[in-house]
Amino acid sequence: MRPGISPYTPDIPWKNCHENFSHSFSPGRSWRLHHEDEQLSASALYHRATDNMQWLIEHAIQEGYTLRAIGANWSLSPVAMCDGGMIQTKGLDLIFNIHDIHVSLSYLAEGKSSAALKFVECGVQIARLNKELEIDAQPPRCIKASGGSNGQTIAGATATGTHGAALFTGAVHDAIVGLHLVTGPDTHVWLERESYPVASDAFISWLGATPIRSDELFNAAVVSFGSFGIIHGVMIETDPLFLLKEYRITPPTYSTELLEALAGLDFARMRTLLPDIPESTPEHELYHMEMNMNPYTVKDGSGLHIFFFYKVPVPLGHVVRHGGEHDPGPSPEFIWMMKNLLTALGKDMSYNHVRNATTREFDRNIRQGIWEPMSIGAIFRDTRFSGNVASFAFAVATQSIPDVLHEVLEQIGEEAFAGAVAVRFVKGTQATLGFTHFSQTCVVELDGLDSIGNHRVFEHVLQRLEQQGISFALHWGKLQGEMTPDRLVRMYGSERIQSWKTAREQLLTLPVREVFTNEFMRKYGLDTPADTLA
Amino acid sequence: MLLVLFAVIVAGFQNCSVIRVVQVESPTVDRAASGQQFGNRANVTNSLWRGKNRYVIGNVCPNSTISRFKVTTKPHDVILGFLSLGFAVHQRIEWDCAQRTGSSEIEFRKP
Repeated sequence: MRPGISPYTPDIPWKNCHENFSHSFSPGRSWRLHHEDEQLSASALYHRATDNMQWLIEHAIQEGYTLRAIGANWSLSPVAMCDGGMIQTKGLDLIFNIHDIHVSLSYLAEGKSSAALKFVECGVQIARLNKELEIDAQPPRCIKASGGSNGQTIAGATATGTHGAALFTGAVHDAIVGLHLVTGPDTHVWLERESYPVASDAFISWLGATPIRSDELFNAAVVSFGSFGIIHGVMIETDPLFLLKEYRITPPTYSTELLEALAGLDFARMRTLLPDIPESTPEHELYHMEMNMNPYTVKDGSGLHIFFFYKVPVPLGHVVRHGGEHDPGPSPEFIWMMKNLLTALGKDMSYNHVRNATTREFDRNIRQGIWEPMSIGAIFRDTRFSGNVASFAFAVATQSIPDVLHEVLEQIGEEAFAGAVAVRFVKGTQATLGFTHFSQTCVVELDGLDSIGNHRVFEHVLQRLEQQGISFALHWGKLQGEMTPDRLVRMYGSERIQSWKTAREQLLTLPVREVFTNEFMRKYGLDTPADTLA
Repeated sequence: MLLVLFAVIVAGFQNCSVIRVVQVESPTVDRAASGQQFGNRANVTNSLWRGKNRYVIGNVCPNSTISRFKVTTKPHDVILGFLSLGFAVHQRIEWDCAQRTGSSEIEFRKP
């Protein structure tokens, strides 16, 4: 076997990290890429890994099997599963410093600094990146946006559109400004936007990649859930370190006025209704906004919390710490027991049980407030739930949030849902199939038990939105509901889908596309040629 | 009936293990394991009569750092330990290696 590749035997069945589904890969088709050679420099290890990815693609073409790169195994959807094998990339954990010589003149001419950039290998977990930026780097920096936890790899978080709630910043992938993409047995490309070139010729030459500067191709590839070959490395833009100060408002009423103010991001009106909302100033700037609600009590004036985080400067002497007590949440055993109990009770019998249990658990499971300003890496840490948990999320335009919540609460009024509802506000993305594609996006999340009843609620909520003509798009890395080509067209429109497929055809040859086509894509009709609409 | 009772007792023993998970500061893990499982495992036999029971796992990790480890002692292991007068106590050790720390400089290839 080539140095840097080990055969890997996945468990049968293989479970994702959150254990909400299992899958069987074909035996003898999986591989682990690693850097276990202390004699080689970091640059040499990186180049070896690129060569190994190409070799694996060649092997898959010759042997006729499908492949998917897998990072932390974090997604709750089978987006990273395939019939063939997996390439484990978590051993590819290099982070490279970027200096002026690696950066295009136009980037520097805009007054930007190369110190804002890091070139990060695909397997680096967000936790490692946070530590490198916030604790080890001098001067310290931080990522621009984060999801709620830190276990994802950078490539996985990018590829599935991990979003957070940075309402003026965007999702994690919106800070990615360049992609090193391995596209075939003898091809690999450096892909960046034509409108925002970042890398110098020297950097691209170091990679040995073919440069492609195209907004259309970049926007298609940046959120492509492993369908565009293997993302080996990403160039990420970072911010100087800032801290986040949390405020938590519990509105006394759930009113139309409040919802309209939220829908219009009308902060003046929101402050009239909720005077405790602090002012946003340059030294105390609103950054993150989310709502958490108990769907059973919110209309009665309880069970609604709005969380705000404001960016504040780092005070002198502040020490960033990523350690501390783990906040465990309910145990998997408890969730398992509750799930089985609810399933056994059946629909009619379970409604009151679900409502009462959810109401009882809601306040217990709301994350503890963080009253001292802390960094992104210190706040968004370990996932608090694991095992038999269902997480379902879809994006809508912020202005439609009153109608969307009306439909969600109406459905839960009719059908028991064991879980809570959250709304996160995030700036829209340019990514072609980024699910946060509304210019101002709200991500509505229904997190709860992985029970048959909850899955039914998810699907019925989507049907309601479709009946009302409310546009939405589903989170790629979470539960999907019914996956059909028609639904995909309703979520993104024909033009975006065609553009994404065309980009894939331009970057990958047919044999390579076949290697990276999986059942997930087939269900949505993303495997068909660009000239045949989904 | 006795057989069923025996099966229930055995199943109970299997599921009531003493488990300790220790997580060190870095939550990064160098490979994706299936579900919440750990990436590496080993069965060890300890003796209560030995001063130290040592099993070095650091060298197994490429960066000599582990992210977390778990020690499981099943009830039947305790019974076996009791019957063997403490000379043989089986335990199962599982661990994940951590990702590296720090950043690297790009070295241009020599022509």
